[in-house]
Amino acid sequence: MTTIPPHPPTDGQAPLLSVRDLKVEFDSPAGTITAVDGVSFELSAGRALGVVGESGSGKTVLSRVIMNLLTVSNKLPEQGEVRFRGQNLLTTRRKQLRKLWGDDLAMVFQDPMTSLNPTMKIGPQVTEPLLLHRKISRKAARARAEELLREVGIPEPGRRLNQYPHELSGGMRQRVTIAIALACDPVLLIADEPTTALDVTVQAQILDLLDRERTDRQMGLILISHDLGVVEGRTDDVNVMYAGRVVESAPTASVFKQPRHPYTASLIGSMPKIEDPSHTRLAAIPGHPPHPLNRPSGCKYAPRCQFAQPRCIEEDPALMPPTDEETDRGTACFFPPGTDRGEEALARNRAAGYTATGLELQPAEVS
Amino acid sequence: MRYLMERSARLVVTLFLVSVITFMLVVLLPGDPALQVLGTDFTEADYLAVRDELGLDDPLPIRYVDWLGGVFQGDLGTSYRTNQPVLEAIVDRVPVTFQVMVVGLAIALLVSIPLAMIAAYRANTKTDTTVSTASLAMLSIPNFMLALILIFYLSVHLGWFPATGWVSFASDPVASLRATLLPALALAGAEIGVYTRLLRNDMIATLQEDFITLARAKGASTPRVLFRHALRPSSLSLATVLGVQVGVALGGSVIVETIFALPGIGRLLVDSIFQRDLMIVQGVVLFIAVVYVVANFAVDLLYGVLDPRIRKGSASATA
Ligand SMILES: Nc1ncnc2c1ncn2[C@@H]1O[C@H](COP(=O)(O)OP(=O)(O)O)[C@@H](O)[C@H]1O
Ligand code: SF4
Ligand SMILES: [Mg+2]
Repeated sequence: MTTIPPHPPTDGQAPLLSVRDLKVEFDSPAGTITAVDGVSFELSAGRALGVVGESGSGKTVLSRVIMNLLTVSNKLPEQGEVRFRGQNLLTTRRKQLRKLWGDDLAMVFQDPMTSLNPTMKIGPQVTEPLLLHRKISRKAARARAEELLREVGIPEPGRRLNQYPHELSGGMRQRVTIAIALACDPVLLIADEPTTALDVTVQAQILDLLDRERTDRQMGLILISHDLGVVEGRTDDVNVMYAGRVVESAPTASVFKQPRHPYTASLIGSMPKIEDPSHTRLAAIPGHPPHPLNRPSGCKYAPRCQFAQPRCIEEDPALMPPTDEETDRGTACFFPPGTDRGEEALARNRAAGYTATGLELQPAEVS
Repeated sequence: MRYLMERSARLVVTLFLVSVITFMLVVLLPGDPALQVLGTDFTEADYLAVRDELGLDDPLPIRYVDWLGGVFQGDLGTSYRTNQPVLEAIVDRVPVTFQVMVVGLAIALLVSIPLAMIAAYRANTKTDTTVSTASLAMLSIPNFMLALILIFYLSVHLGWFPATGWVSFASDPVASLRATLLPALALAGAEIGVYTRLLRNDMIATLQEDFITLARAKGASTPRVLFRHALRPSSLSLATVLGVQVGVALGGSVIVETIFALPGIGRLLVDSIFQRDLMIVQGVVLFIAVVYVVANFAVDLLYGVLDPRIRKGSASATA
């Protein structure tokens, strides 16, 4: 599958991270599960990339494979490549990888309740990457850890070092995992749904913290979320994932101005709006993502897509510029919303009352 | 602190029950202690005098309180046959049994912890299957069989170790350890099987945890991930079984000490049972029960060390 990077490196240097045709499959009793299905993108140093998609779309698998940190026994060999500063991490030896992990490459996980070791005090957990990667005394590492905790906004950092994770709130624990990730000044940080497990009030604080640290440190950031709202205003570019694929890839601002994939449009449509009274029920996208063992052969989104045409059942769309002018973005859709082709397709389906896959449309509904 | 109080209260209640049961054991067993003391040649008056001296005609609660009062002062009575104080007989034998138990436990842990880690790390591979099968085999060999096999190969055949007999550690440490090794191995066999299987299973669950992935994402080496991050959170079941195993090992010492002719607690118990020396039997049973209960109390405290959440939380966390 041919794809276009949304931001080709302009300075002639290798990009910080370049993912090419990455495919990750798992062996299961019922058949081979394709979790990541031909993903390509690039990330330049200091930039932030959002990865957004419903649960099960392959975000976590993608993030762990990028670090080559996925070791479940039923994983089949990956296809494609993940180049970090030009070096293919998928073929790098474990010993070399260990030098990158925690030093240049760092990670923050979804659930701070489970990502800290319950039997270890905060102190040794924060100093660990420093002691592993820096020639530094235990005492200096401890002082540095205290500094890091202060930097990520933890009050009384000195006292925290001697506490166990269960003595801290969820938000504080996530700050600790961020401090751990930042300990050795990584050049790439991958945050996999870092706020999903947290209270709404804490979410914004954590996201702002990540944003500030990225800017201060000129660090590359991959911010993963099932919520488009999380990446809005906090990332330069966004990849929208569906069923293991990137279905739309574009500068974040452009995506919100005009989504070029029906799935992205639905995600934006289901975001809570500021003028809505709080607690309005969100308009979830009708239907479910296809089961990984039973994906349609044409466009994977066709069964839920209001734009779907007969071609969508026959052919599988590749990530392409949506129009001749929009060369800085890609969509995997034959009938992108907001284009003539797309609007014609939608109008045709509205007139008929149903799509090519038989999905019923309310004629009154406006996209 | 609350955790400690709760556990201590439970310890006291358990010890009380143990003392009652041990006391009743002797009362309920057939046979008249007075007849044992007297031997064959005595008069009716002698008989009544001895019964009176032993307090055999007092009501049971009084006899219990008398006995318990003695126990608290270190008086477990005297052997009906040899007149040796029971406590002295036990204290003489304890070092032998403990030395064998401790060496056996150390061997079992030193073997099973690395084995379990390798098996868990390579879960569902050939290595894992081999380790699991081997530990099941270890588990299924009765300790007397293992003892006989060890004697046959390592002492009779190869002559590396003495087959039987005992040298105290104080008189000759090296010879003492040589004498300890085979019986310790005989005890360790089943323990290795139990510990390896338990720890492997818990370890596999721990290795799925996010904090293990995070440890790897920090750049920690595999041995470091396994020992520093995964071992402690995986050892709660192991600790539980360790407590139970103290009882199993004390029971096993009866057989192992008999086979290897070691002058330990187990032998003392067997000999006393055959000689119907009820005071010694009672003392040894009480001793074993107390050691067992105290060992399990220590395990309760160990939980708190292994998992700090238990220290703070309610006792239900350990239930
Ligand atoms: N070890 C595994 N074996 C089989 N399937 C897996 C495994 N890990 C993940 N998957 C599947 O891969 C798909 C993507 O999962 P994931 O990356 O966790 O999604 P997301 O993070 O976007 O919610 C899901 O369908 C999931 O069931
Ligand atoms: S219009 Fe067709 S190609 Fe585009 S998302 Fe819908 S089904 Fe897929
Ligand atoms: Mg996920």
